[in-house]
Parts: sequence; C-alpha cells; structure tokens
Amino acid sequence: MSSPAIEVDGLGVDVAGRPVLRDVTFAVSQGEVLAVAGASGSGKSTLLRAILGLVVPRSGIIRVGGRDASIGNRSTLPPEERNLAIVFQDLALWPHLTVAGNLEFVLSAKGVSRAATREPIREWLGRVGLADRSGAYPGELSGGEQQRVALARALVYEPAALLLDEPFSSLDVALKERLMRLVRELLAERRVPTLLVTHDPEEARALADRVAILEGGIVTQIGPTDRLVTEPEGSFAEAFVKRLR
Amino acid sequence: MTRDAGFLVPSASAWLRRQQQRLLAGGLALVVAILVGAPIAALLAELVVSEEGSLGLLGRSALWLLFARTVASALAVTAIAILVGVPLGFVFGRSDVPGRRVLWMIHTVPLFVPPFLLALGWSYLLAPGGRPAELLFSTFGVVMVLSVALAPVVTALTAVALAGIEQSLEESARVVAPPLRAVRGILLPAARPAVALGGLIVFALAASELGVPLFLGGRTYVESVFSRLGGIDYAPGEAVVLAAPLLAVGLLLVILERRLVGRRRFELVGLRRIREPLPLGRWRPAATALAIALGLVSIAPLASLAWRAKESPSLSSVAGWLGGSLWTSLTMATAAAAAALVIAVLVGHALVQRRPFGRLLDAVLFLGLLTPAAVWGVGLIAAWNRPETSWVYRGWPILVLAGAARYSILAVRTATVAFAQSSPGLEEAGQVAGAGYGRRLLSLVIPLHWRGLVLAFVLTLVFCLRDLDLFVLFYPPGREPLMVRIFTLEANGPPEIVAALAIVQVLVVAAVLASGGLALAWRARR
Repeated sequence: MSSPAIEVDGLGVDVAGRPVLRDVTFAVSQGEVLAVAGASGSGKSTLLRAILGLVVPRSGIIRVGGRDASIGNRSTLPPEERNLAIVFQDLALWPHLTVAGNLEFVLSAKGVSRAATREPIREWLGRVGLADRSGAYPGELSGGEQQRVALARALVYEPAALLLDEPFSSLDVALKERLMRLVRELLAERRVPTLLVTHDPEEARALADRVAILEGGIVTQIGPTDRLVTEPEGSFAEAFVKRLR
Repeated sequence: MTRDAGFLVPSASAWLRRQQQRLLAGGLALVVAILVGAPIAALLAELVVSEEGSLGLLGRSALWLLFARTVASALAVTAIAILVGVPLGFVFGRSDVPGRRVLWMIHTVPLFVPPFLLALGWSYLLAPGGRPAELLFSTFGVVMVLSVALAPVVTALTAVALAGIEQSLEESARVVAPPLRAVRGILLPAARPAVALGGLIVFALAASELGVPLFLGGRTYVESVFSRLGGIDYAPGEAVVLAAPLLAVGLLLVILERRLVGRRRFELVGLRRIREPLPLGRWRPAATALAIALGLVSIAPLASLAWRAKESPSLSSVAGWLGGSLWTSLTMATAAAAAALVIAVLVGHALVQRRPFGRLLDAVLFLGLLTPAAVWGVGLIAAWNRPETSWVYRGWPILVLAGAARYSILAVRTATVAFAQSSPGLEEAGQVAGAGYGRRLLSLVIPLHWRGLVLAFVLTLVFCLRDLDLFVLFYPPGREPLMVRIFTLEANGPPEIVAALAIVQVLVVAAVLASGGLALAWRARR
C-alpha cells in the first residue's frame, strides 16, 4: 500500500506569536480530493502555507509523499523539494511573463531543459483550451482564461499533490461551473491527490471525496462528503451543509 | 438650492463646492507653471534671441567631447549603482542577512549627505597621498564617490518594490524554485520598473553633479555652464546656449521614465502582510560581509570629516564661520518642503484617482528632478532676474522656488504611494455623504495618510538641505545656504573649519531625519 500524498500529524502553527492551528491531523490519500472547509480566519490558508513549507510550524509532523517535510519547529524539506503545486485565490500569475513563460518558469525550475519544455507547455495549454494564447500576458486574459493558465501551470510539472486555495471564489456562477467541470475532469484523468481549501459547500460537494471542517484552528470533523451532509457536527458544519440541503 | 421659475438652481456655495476640485486643479497648474514652466520658457526665449557668437559654441567639438564625457561618467555611475543597488535591495529588503535593517540604514546615509562632503571626507582620509589619492583626484574618483552616494537610490527603490510585490507571486515561485532562482526569475523582473526609475534618477543626479567633479578635478559639461554664470568667465548668453543640450537630456529622461516605468501601480500590496525573509543559504555569510563592507565605505568619509573637525579652535569660531547660512538653509528648505507638500497632496490625489491631469503634472514635476540643475540655474535667472521681479531674485523666494521646482516630485511620489495604500471606498463614503473635494482632502485624505505626508515633507526638506548644484548657481548675495558656504570656503578656508561646517550640515540633516522618525513613531503609537 502506497503512503499518503500528504500527512499532517498534530500540526500547530503560530502567526505573529498567536496560535492559528492547533493539533491538526489528517491525510490525503493518493488520488483523493480532500476539502478543508472553514470560516474566514479559521486557519485554512495558514494550513496550506505550512504544508507548502512557506511558514515553519510550531509543532507536529508534515509528510509529503512519505518523506518528512517538517518535524516539530524544524523544516526538513524546503518548499521547492516538496514537489507540490498551488493555485492561489488570486491565481498569482507572474505579470511580466507570457502564458507560456509562466509554464516555462516552473518547468525549468524543476530542471527541464528549455527545449524539452515546449511539448508539455503545448500539451497543457491545449488541454485547458488556451493553445492560441501562449504569447499573451496575464493582464490580457479574461478571468476564466487566467484561471485555466493557473491550473495548467500547477499541473504541468506533474506534482505529487495539488493544493487549491479557494480558486473559484472570484468567479461568476456560470464560469465557476465550467471551471469546476474542467478541474473535476483533470483531477479524475490525472489522479492527482488534491487538498481544496474552500468555504463554499457547492465546491466541496462537486470536487471532494472527503471534507474536513476547520474551526478556530482545530479540525472538528472529517469524513466523506455525504456523511458530513447527513451528520454535521458543530455550528460551522451545520451552517455549511444547510446550504446544500 | 434656490427655486427660480420652477427649476431648482444650485446656490453659489453649492456651485463652488462642486467646482472645488477644478478650481484647485487650476490653481495647482498655475503654481507648477510658475515653478517649472517659467524657467524653461524663459530659457527657450533667451535661446531664440541668442547672439550668433553664443550659438556658435555648439559647433565646438571640444564642447561635445566634454558633453560625451559627462554622459559617460553618469552612465558609469548608473551602471555601478544598479550593479550594487539591486542585489543590496534584495539583501536588505527580503533576505535573512542578520541586522539587515541597521545595515540598510548605514548604506542609506550617503544619500542624505551632499556628495561633495563625501569627496571632501575621502580627500582627508587619503591625504597622505600615493596611488589612492591619485585615483581619488581623477574621473575614476568622481565616479566612485558618486556611485557610493547614489547607489542607495536604487537599493531603496528595489527593496521597497520587492517588499511590495504580492505575497502569492513570490510564494508560487518558491513552491517550485530555490530562493535565489525565485528572486532572479520572478521577483527582480517584477521589480524592474523600480530599478529603471532608480537608474534614471541616479543618471540625472550624476549628470547634474557639480561639486564633486569641481573638487576632484574631473571636468564636466555642467562646469562649463557654471563658469559662465560665475565671475571669471561671466557670459550668461553663452550659459543659456550651453544649457540647451542639458534640457534635451532632461526631456529625454522624462520620456524614458514614461516608457520604462509607465503607468505603474502605486499600491505596495505585499506590505500588508508580515513575510518570512528568503533564506540565502550558503551565500548568507558572503552577503553579510559585503553589506558590512559597503556600510563601512558609506560612513568612512563622515568619520574622516569628524576627525578633522576635532581640530577646530572652538565652537564659537565655527558659529562665526557659519554666519547666517544655517538659518538660510533651514528656512528656505522648510518653505520649499511645505510648498512641495501642498503640491504633493493635490497631484498625488489626482494620480491615485488616475486623472490624466495628475499624470501630466507628475511628468512636468519629474522634469524638475531629471533635468540637470544647471538648466534650472540658467532658467531661473532668465525668468526672475528682471526689475519687476527683483524681490524674488534678490531674496530667499528664489531659493524656495528653485527647491520646490526641483524636489517637489519626491513629495508627490511619496504621497502617492501613501494614498494608494488605502481603499478608495474610504473617500467615496465621504463623497456619498456630501463632503466636497476640499473637505474630503482635509478631513479624510490628509488625516488618513498623515505618516506618508510627514515622510514626504522630511524627504523634500532633506534634499533641499543637501543641495549644492542648484543653489550655487544663483544664491542671492548674503543669503548663501550652508552647503554653498562650505563649498566656497573649501577653496581658501581653514580645512578644520570646513570639516566642522560639514559636520554641522550632517548633524542638521540627521536631526531632521530623527525628528521625522519621532513624529512617525508618535503617530504610529496613537
């Protein structure tokens, strides 16, 4: 049996001296999509940044692909060696690079030669329907196009796991549905283990196999999405699933 | 409102309230036209009526060689400032070098000290002679002194730009690339407009420099303008002709600024969160050593000045040599900074509101900084040295006009960055509630951004205090600012007195900066 893509065990993180996450434990299995749902300020984004290695935890263990990434307050694997990918809420497309340039940077940072980057870039831009926009700059793209570039940039180097930080929160309903369909297809096709941070129950139901509820920096409930709908525990979970009924 | 023939007619006061912004914009345009437009217009008018003999100067190849040499020196200073300033901007702004804030402050010290004083300090330090002194008193020495003096411009702009980049842009690069690769591939290219701006400012200030080349012996084009305004080769008509190519340089720099820096955003979004510094890994000791070494180079000439000043006979003799120059410096610089602040509030506000009028005035005021000081000297003399405006030309107002014309842009850009950090909704809420333009400025914009405006005032004040190249060209008799006093005394005054006056200049600027820092800290606590 292969090890989980991401394991978080007893994780505690402080930000500016204040505890934001306390004793958080969960795992994301290979091919699984786990949604982490919580209100604003519950520590969702801090959790992602700790897994990525962008903040050093206070306590606990983070393992990525079976390797220790941080133990206690010591980071043992720098961010670039964790082989994770992220789509931020604001997408974070580098504005001075073209669409192809955004993908090329991540590939070349992973050691792919410039000549060898062409094929995966072509393939992924085709896959997200942007084959004809490779020379455009992010500022020249529509919101939906930018979203698709961010997805392609995250998946082009075949990461061990994908992290999504409320990636659809700024989209209108129609666009959001189209993009969620695309994400679902891509995740199913590539079997990429995914951690989705969201406060939208629709997103969680559409994409996730399981949901973890984060309240005040603590995981209060974790389980299959269907069970969460029928047996919510705690005030946030109640409010969260109410919108699905 | 009043009712007239069945229609609601706005009362005069309501009309005035609605037109406040237009009226103030008109007044502002007039002020900027007087500050910047009048000297340029006067210079161009004098140029048109120049005698053929004066115009013939432009046909001399020796003159153009001198021009090329000045441009080449300024380019060398710019290249060094970028080579040093960009890596240091990263080291001080985003790296994990220990004590980076203190080291940054030390590196910035030369920016607030007139470059002439740095050259003076180095000359005392290397006085025993030999090869180092020979190198100092050469074009090489001029380039090196100016590079140390001006590199902090690039450092500061790079560091602020890096710190202001959206956090997620940096983090998405860090997820795939080691720190230095993320810096090289993403952060520094994203900071390119700031680096370009720094390069342009350094070039302009280096090309404008008069005191350092005059003292260290590297001849420059600017000196040829200066000598024709002074007593020896007095020929104001020729000075006008010689200023024309420098005006072209200023215009070219403004065009470059518009093209390279463009419609940049003033929001420093990345500053809104506390960020972990980027680890330098095995490069950390080398970067720390380099930062310390450059820090020592920055303060060595000041230590040398202080050492020489110790030999001064007494404080009262120093005060005697000072005369009224310190008072002139302080009053002139304060008045110029106050005028610049008013301009900065109005232009900065127009800039964040993305009004074309704001961009136009910003470009005109930028011309003030990017055009070599010699042009302003010649232009101000041409504009104001007339019987009907002699009260301006013969007194302190000419110094205030000159200081505000040259340095207002520093206040404008500082205020604009401050204004851009807050949500437009704050002011819009006031507008919806019925507050007119003036009321919104006085009750919302200024109190909300008080700290940024203090910084804008202090920055302009310090640059007016440190100026030599501009004021030396036309200071009124008996009203020379302190820097001009030191510069003129250097030729034939006692060295220990010159050094003591230089230390007074440094202490005054330090006191102004410290007062600004205290004011900011006081506001921060409230």
